[in-house]
Amino acid sequence: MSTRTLWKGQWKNFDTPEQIAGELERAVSGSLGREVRPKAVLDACQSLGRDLENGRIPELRAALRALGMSENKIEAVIKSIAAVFNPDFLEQKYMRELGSLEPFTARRPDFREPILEAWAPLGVLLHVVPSNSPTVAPLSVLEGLMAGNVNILKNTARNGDFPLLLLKALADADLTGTIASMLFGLTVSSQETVVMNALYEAADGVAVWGGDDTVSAVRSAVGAQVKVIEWGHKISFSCFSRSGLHDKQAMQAVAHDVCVIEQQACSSPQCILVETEDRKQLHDFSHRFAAVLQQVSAQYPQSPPSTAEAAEVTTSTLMAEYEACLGKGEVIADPGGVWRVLVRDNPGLAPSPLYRTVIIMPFARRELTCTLRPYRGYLQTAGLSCAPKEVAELTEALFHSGVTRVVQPGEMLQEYSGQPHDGAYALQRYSRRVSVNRDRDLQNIAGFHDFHEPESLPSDAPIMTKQDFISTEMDHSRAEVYFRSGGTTGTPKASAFSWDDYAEQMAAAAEGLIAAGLDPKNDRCANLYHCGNMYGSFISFWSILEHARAVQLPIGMVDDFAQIAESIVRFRANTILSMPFFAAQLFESQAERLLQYGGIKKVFLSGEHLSPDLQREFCEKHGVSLVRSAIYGSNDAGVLGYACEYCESGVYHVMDRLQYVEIVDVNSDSPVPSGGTGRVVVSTRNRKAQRIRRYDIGDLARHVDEPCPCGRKAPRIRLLGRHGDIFKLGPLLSISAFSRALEKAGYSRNMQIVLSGKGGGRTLLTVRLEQGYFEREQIKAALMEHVPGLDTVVGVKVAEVEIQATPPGGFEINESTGKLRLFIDRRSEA
Amino acid sequence: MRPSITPPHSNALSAVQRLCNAADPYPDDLEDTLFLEAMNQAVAWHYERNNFFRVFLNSKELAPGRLKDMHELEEFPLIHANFFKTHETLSVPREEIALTLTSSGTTGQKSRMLFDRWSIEAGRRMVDDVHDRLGLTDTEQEANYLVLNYEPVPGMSRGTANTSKYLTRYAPAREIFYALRFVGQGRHEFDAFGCVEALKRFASQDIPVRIIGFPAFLFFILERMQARGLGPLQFSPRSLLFTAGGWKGYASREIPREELIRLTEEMLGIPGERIRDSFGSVEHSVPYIECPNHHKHVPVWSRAVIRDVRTLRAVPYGTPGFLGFFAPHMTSVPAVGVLMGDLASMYPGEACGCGISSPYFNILGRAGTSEHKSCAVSATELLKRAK
Repeated sequence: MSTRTLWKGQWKNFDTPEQIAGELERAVSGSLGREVRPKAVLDACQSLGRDLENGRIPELRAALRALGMSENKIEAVIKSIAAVFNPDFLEQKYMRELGSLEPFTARRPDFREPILEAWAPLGVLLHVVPSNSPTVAPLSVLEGLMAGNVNILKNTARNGDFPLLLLKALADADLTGTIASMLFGLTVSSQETVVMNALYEAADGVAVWGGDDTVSAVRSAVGAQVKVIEWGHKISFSCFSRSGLHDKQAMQAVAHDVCVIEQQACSSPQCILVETEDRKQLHDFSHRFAAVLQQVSAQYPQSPPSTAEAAEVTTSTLMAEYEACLGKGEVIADPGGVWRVLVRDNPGLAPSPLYRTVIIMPFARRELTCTLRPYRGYLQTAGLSCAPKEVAELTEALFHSGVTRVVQPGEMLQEYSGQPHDGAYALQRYSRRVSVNRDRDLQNIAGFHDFHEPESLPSDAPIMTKQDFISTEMDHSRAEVYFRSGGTTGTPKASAFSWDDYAEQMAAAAEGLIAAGLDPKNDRCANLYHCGNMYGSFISFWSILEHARAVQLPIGMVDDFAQIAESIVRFRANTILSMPFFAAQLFESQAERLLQYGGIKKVFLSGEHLSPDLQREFCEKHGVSLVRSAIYGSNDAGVLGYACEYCESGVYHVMDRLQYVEIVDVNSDSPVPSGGTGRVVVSTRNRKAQRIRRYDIGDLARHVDEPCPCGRKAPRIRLLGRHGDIFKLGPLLSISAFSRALEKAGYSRNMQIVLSGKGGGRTLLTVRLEQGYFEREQIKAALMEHVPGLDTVVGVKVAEVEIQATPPGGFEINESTGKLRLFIDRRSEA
Repeated sequence: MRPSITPPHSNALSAVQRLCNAADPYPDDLEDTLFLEAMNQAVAWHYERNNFFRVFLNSKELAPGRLKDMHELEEFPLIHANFFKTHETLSVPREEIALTLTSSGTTGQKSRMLFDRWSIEAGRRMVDDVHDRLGLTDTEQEANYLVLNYEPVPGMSRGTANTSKYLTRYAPAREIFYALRFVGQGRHEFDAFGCVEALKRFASQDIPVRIIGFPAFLFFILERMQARGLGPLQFSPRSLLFTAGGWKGYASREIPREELIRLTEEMLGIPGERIRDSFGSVEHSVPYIECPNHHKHVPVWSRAVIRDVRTLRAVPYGTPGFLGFFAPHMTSVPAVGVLMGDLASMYPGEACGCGISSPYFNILGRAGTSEHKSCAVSATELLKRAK
C-alpha cells in the first residue's frame, strides 16, 4: 500500500511507514540551513494567488469538492486563500512581525552600538493541524516558510488532498527553486506510531492546532528542547458597558457575529458580559437582546448542528432551565429551536454549546480580571460596546484580564493584516532571535547584507534615459514623498518614493555612512545641505542621521558662514556633512575661528565629485582627521552606494540591497568588457512609488574587480565623471539648456562649456563662443535667466561664469572623431 | 427469602409499593396501568415535598397525578442526570438519608445521589430479582472473583465500587481479587500482572470464576496474556463475565462488543451466553442487565424512552436519541424521570428472541459533550481544566 507524500516539494511514493521514517531525518536536514528569501516567497505567492483567482488549478477545487463542500463554499475558500497569498498582505506581515523584508540579515537594532541582531528560523517545523479545516494546514506551513523553516505538514485524512496539492502548487510557482526543498507533507494518522515518532524526532519546533488534549499529547511526545507553538482553542465574548445597554445597533452587530457561522470560530462570541449589578437590568437587557437575535437570526440560514452537537445544546439549555426553576437566571428560547439566550445571574464566564446559544452574565469593571481568571489562557476576542470615552479604560481592563484582542461588535471575525494571533506574532514564534556583539570588528559594520553574494537582476528592458524618466507618467497612488528631479527644464518633475521606500533607502544609507566611518555614539553632526523647493539633500541627511541616532545640528546651507561657525562651536559639532564646495568655502571663510575651536574631526561630503586636493586641504590645513564621501546617490534613483574605509576617492560599494548596477558600453547597450569604462545603468530592486529599470543616470564608471579588504561582497565601481546632457555642478545642469538659452539671445553657433577648478572648491564655468558673434552682457543675462539652476549655482558662489570669445581653432576637439567637444570637465585635474 | 420493604408513606405510595413488589422483572404483562398509577403517585410525592420539582412541573404547566396513558408518559418532562450531579435537592428530611453515593464522571464532575432506606433497598431488591430471573444467581456454588474495579478503602464512597462489592453476593466468594489496587494517598493503580496471576490461580481450581466490573480492564488483561503468550485458560461453564460502567476514560481504546465477547470466549473459555454487560447509573438505579442474547431489556419497574436530541419529543423504535427512564421508586430525590447523557436507540422485545417481551436499548455513545469541529473551546476542555 503506497503512500504519496510531498517530499522536498515533489511527489514521492513510499511503500511502508518504515521507509518514510528511515529517510525523513536525512531529507529534512539536507534542507536545513538553506536560505528562503522573502522576495522568493512573495513572488511565488503572488503567482499562485493569481492562478487561484483565475481557476487555473482545477485539482484544488476538485479536492474540496471531494470533502463534500458546496460550490459556494469552495469559491469562498479559494477566494480567502488567494487573499492571503496577496504579496501586499504578506509584505505587511513580514514588516509588522519581523520588522523587515530581510529579517534574516543581521543589522544594528540601535545604530549607536556595535551589536547586530537578526531573526533566524527554528529549523525543522512540524505542523500538526486540525481535521476540521483544510485551509489551516497549508496556511500554517506558509507562515513557517516565511520564517525560513523547513516545514513538515502532518495532514489528516479528513482534510483530504487539498493541503498537499496547494503546497505542491506553491513549490511549482516558485521560479527561484528555493522553496521546494523546504516543503514536506504527508497524510498520516496520529496512531501510526512509526511515522509519528520519526516526525517528532525530526522536529525542532511543532506548531499544534487543536484542543487541550492534542496540545498535551504533542508536548509529551516531543523532547524537552523542542519548541511547542500551540494554537489552542479559545473563547471569545461580547461586552456591553453600562452606557451601552440600550444600544440596539451594537446588539444587532453582536447577533451578526453569533449567527454568521454558528459561533464556530475561536473569535465568535460565546457570551455577553453586561456591566450591571442589578438583576432586573440584566434580564431586561437579555430580553431586548433576544428580540434582536430573533430578527437577525432569521436573515441567516442555519447550518444545523450534528447530533452530538445538538445534544450538547439541549443539555446546556436544560441545565439553564433548572437553574431558572431554582430562581437563578432565565432561559429565553426560540420556539423553533434555532437560537437561545441563557441568562446567568452571577458573574463568571461559561462556555456556550454554540449554534446560536448566547450566555449572558453580569460583570463589574474592577473585578474583570478576577472574573475571567479561570479562563485566562483561553481568552481571545472581546467585542466591546461602550461610549467612546470609555474605550481606553475598558480595553485596558480587558487586556489586563487576559483578552488579546478587542474589537467592535460585528467585527469579531475580521482580521487586519499583521495582526497578532492569540497574543503573538506567528512569525516570531516560529523563529529565534540571534545576536552578535564584537566592539572591535563591528565598529564600521552596521549590517551583514553586503557580505552576502550580490544578487543580479537581469532584464531585457531597454535602457532608460533622463528624457524617458521625465516623460513616464508617474503612478501617484504610492507616491508619498516627492523630491525635485534634478536638471530638468520647464515644469518641475519629481522623483517619488513611498514612505517605506524612503525609510528603506535612508536606513541603508545610514549603514553606508557607518561603513564610511560615522560613529553615531560620539559624532555630533552639522548638516549643511541645501533645503527648500523639494530638494532632497538636507532632508535625506536629516533622515539618515535620525536613523543613525547621531547628534544632529540641522544648520542647512545658509548664507552666513560666521553664523554656521558660531553654531558649530557653541554646540560642539565635530562632524560636518556638506557639499564639497560649501565645506571648502566655510573653512576658508572661518579658518581661524574653526582652527581655534579645533573640534572638527570628520567631514563627509557628497553631491559633487570630491577632489583629492580638497581632501588634503581639509586634513592638512584645517586639522580634520577623516574626509570621506558620505553617500553616492541620485535624486532620481535614490541611494546608490557608499565608501567603506578601504575605498579610495571615487570608489564606491554598490548599495546592493537597494540597487542593481550595470556598466554598459557608451555607444551600445551591451555590458562593457572587463576593465572598461561605461555608463552607469541602475535598476532599483524594491521601490514601490516609481519603477527604475536600467536607468542611465549619466555617470561614467568602471568595475573594480579586486575584492575589498573590508570583506564585503557588494560590488565596487569607480566613478569617472559624467556623460550626456546633464552635468553636476552643485545641482544638475543641462548642456542643452545652455544651447537653448543662447538661441534665445540670438546665438546659434558653436558652443563649448569647460569646467575647471578655481581653488577653494569653487568652479569656473567657461562658456566658449565664437568670437565676434555675440554680445557678452546679453549672453550672460540670457544664460542666467534661461538655464535652470545656473542662477542658484552662481548665487551661492559655487561657480563663476565666464564667457570666453574663442577664435577659430580655439575650440577643443575630440582627437579620434574630430568632433567639437561640447562639454569638458577639468575639475578633477589639479 | 425476598425481603419485604415499605416506602416512606404507604398510602401515598401504595401503587409504587405494589409495582416494586413484583418479583418477576420480565412478566409477559407489563402492567402499564399499575405503572402509570405508581408514576402519578411518585410525581405527586415530589411535587408536594420538593420546591424545585414543583416549580419545574409548574413551568411545564403540568399538574401532578394526571398521566392517563403511556402516550402521555412518553412525552412527560424528564430531568437531565447532570442536574443531580450538580445539585442536592431532597424530597425527604435529611435525617432519612441512609446512603450517599458519588460517581466519577469522565469529565471529572462528581455527583452525589442521596438515597433514603426505601429507595436504596427497592433498588437493591431489583438487582437481586433480575439476577435470579436471568440465572445469574448461584448461591450453592462458590466462585472466585476478579473484580475490575477499585479496591475498597475505608471512607470511599464511589458508586461503581459500591455496586461491584454488592455484586459479589450472587455467588459465595472463595477469593476476591481487585484489579485496581490501593496504593495510598487516595490513589489506585491497575495491577495487570496481579490480575493475570489471579486468573491463572483461579483456573487451576475447579470452581467458576466471576469477573465483574469495567470491560476496559478485562481487555487489557487479555492483551497482556496474549503479549506474554499465556493461555488460553479454561474456566467452568458456570463462570460469568459481568461488565458495567462502560469504557469511560479509555473510550479511545474501546473495541466492539462482539470482539470482546469473542476474545473472552477464546482466552478464558467463558461461553457467550454467560457474558453479560449491564447499564446503570447513580442517578437511575434500576438495573439493565443483558439477556442471553446480549440485549438490555427494561424491567417492569421502569420504562425507557428515546428522546430527540433537538426537540426532546419521543422518537420511534430504532431512532437514536437521548436515553431516558421513568422510575417511580425513587423517593429521596425527584429522579423519577431522568434524561441520561447517553445516546441510544430502542427496539421491541420481540426483536430479541430471548422470550422477554419488554423492549431493549443499545447505547450508541455519550450525548451532551462534543468535540467541537472548530477552534472554539468546548465545555469539556474547560471543565477538565477548571476542576
